[in-house]
Amino acid sequence: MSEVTIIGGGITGVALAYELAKRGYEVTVLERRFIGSGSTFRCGTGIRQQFGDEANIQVMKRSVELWKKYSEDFGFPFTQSGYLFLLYSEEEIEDFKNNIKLQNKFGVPTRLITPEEAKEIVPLLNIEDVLAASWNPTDGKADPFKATMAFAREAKELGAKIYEYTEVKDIVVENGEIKGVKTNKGFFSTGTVVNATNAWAKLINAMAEVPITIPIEPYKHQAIITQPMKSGQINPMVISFKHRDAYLTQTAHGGIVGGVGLEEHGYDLTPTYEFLKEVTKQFIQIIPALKDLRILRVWAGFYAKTPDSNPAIGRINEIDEYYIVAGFSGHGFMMAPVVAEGVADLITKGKTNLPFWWYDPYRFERGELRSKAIQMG
Amino acid sequence: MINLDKIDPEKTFICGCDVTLKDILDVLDEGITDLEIIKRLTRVGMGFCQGRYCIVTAAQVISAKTGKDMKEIKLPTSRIPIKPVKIKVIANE
Amino acid sequence: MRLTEHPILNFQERRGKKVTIYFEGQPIEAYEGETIVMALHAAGIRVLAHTFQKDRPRGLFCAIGKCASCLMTVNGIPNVRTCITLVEDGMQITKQKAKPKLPTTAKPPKWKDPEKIDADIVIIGGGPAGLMAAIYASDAGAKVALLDENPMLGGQLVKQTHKFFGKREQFAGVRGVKIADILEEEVKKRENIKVFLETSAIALLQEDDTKLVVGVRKNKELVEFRGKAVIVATGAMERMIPFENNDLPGIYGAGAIQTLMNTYGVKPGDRVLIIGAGNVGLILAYQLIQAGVEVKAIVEALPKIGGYFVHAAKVRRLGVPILTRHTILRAEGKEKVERAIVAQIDENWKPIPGTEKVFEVDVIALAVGLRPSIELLHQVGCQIKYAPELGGHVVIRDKRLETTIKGIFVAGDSAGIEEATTAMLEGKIAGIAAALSAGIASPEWLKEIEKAQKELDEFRSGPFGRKVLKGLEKVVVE
Repeated sequence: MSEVTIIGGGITGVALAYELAKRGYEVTVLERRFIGSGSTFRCGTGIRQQFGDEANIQVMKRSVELWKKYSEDFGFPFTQSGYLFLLYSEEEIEDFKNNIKLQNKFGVPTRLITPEEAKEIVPLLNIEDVLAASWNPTDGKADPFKATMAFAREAKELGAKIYEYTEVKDIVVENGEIKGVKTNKGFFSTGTVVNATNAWAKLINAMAEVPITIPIEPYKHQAIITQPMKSGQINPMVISFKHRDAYLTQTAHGGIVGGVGLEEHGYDLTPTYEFLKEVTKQFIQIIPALKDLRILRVWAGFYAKTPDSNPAIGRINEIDEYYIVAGFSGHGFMMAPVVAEGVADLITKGKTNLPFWWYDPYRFERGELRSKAIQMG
Repeated sequence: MINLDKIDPEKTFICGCDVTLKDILDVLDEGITDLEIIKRLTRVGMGFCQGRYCIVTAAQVISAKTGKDMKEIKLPTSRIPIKPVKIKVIANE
Repeated sequence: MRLTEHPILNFQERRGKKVTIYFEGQPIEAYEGETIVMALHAAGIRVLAHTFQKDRPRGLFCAIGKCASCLMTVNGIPNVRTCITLVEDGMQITKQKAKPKLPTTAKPPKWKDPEKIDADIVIIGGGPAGLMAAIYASDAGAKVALLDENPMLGGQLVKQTHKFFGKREQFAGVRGVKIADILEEEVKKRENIKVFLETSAIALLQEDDTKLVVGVRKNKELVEFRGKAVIVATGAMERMIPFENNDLPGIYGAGAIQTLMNTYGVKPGDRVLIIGAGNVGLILAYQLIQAGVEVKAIVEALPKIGGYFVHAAKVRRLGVPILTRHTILRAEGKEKVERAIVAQIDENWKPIPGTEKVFEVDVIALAVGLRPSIELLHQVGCQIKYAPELGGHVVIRDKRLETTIKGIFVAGDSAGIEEATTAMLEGKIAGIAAALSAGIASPEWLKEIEKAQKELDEFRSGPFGRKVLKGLEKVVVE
């Protein structure tokens, strides 16, 4: 019998397991394949505070603090190498000016810079049509493999149990009370279930017969990695909405990781030739010198999209005790530490100081959509 | 079958991209035995040969150390492009 | 060093025009038609690069464009696989010393759509299986596009100087090199076969009813090949084994050594230790001696020799000791192999202390087995199964070699490690079956399939076929 059972062993699930174990809870994580296999190990590695609404800015500011702390405590790579949004139109600049004002209000030091300043930060940039850039040096990136495995290791050390290749088949609820979880590896008896399955969230919600509508749909997003080049050539995450929502950065190993927003609804994750061509077409406009690098592979992961691109996080009142922590579309990795902290507080104390009301899972039912979150990279 | 005895793991290479037997054994010692995860933590199979020469050797090391049967170890998916391809070739510059 | 005399091969006759290439600025003599790494090796250059992280020297290993050991900068272009890139007069070749730094002033390249080639059947791999598949698919009426990433057709046949076994129609008594010539001639005779050399397949994709093979020609052009059916005949890869300093230059796959001496007439070294006493190891020993190279010993981990008795007897007669129940512990040497240390092993494959033997060699040949090259099939989503009897992971297929994806066929070593003879028979079956599946061949061709299937059965009925049959039981479905 475990007090809390988390379904989904991505970084959100294992970081939450760590936070709960730290608070003295008996916690179990059930993962259908291996840790990180769903979307975490397929992510673009970026961590940013440049959002366009107060809630996400505050939440991400805290997340960056936690990334800094845990990377030091647990020993995994996290660097504050910044996020650089390339802006190509007056309209984009206006939008970003408003975002920057909001970000500055909460202490995030984003500023509007000139194309020349952008080229100083990333000398490989083609700034021909760039009008300005939004630059925050305190955004960053982390190694998704080492970070996730570190949270898993620390969680286990505090007594959390992580079961891999354990697929949830059903959730047993009697008189509105959770009794346990049926899996291919047997029955796990538990009083609390957390749905941290992101792309598969609607399937798990259906098993628990969640009585409200939480629209979360899986979309395939593809990414590439190139052969390594000398470190330090593309330090920040570079983003261009103009180039089909392109994002790219250099990994610690030296390869370029990135993608464009060519999305496809459904659970298929087959990489496509169409994407290979599209990502090439866009990247060579942003950084022409990339043309001499070789692409080593294309892969895909999920965006689990809600109608306003903000996740659904919170307790489902009709089921004792069921929490939804899903609906991340490209920002699940960056948010994981803060989401884990906030949800652990929700579970153990019934509240959190973070503005998680913004992610209220009932908002869809009530028709109160948020302003659309910037969802990429 | 492979022999892992009486050889210095730091000087024994599993992958041409500088991944040693020791790198693999260290991860195994942490209790991580899944080839998919070992691949990502050590980078075996993630280099220019795209795993052709190293991923099966890594699987054999896992098999030898954990007793897992080779047929139980799934090979990581092979992905496009199956040979590294220059970006400008795709652009047909 | 180049071989001038050889009992079977005449390199003088085969070599192309003399050209000059430059290694780190120094001129080197080379011949048209040979790959860069062969010319470098002939000039005594074994170290091709150093690794980025640990600065370990790198030399040739696979010689078939599959590993990443021979990457060099050629005419300023980094990461060129020098084992499958032909020399050109005046070529500048340098070692890669560090990860590249990109220029900050580059201009965006112009976008151009790739060349498109339409065929009925696209065949990937021009070895014995692919060549036979092309010939029979073509005779059955299909228009064929045949791709190979090497600069010449024939696959591994071009390095096989020994005479084949089997029946007359299976080229018994003919040497592999000669078979390659015969098949190439047959291919050239057929106008509906188009050959694309130095062309790598980088993706196999399904587009409704057609299959798309994305290829890269000569490292610079993207070409799209479309067909109703695809035959994957991509051969095999050498296995690696762990031992100390197993990455030193001078440690070659057995196939690479055969490429050096039998295809290009370059002496691989002076003193060789062979690891593995299967047919590949045994034949290699014999071929090395033919080329005037000393073979110090053959080391085999199993308690008995794996290859044919005739081959083993021949090698023993020539005075090469075969050490069964032995394994290699380490290679030693500064920038390249200078000696090898082997030891006896017990029933649990553990080295027995005090049994170490030192061999002063400059080449260690790995003949520890091959594994099928299934990357394209795996990538497109064919079902895979582990069958060690066939060399490892192979695709599930039916008796006509169609995989679990309709219209995608497999043949030869990429379907499971066997011999060139079986590869040719499988190629024939797959070629006809693909033409049938594409709706081109008339039903009479079924008889030819049956005939080839019968020949395969006969060939596999010997004691050495038993293992293969056991493997096939696991992966061949109705």
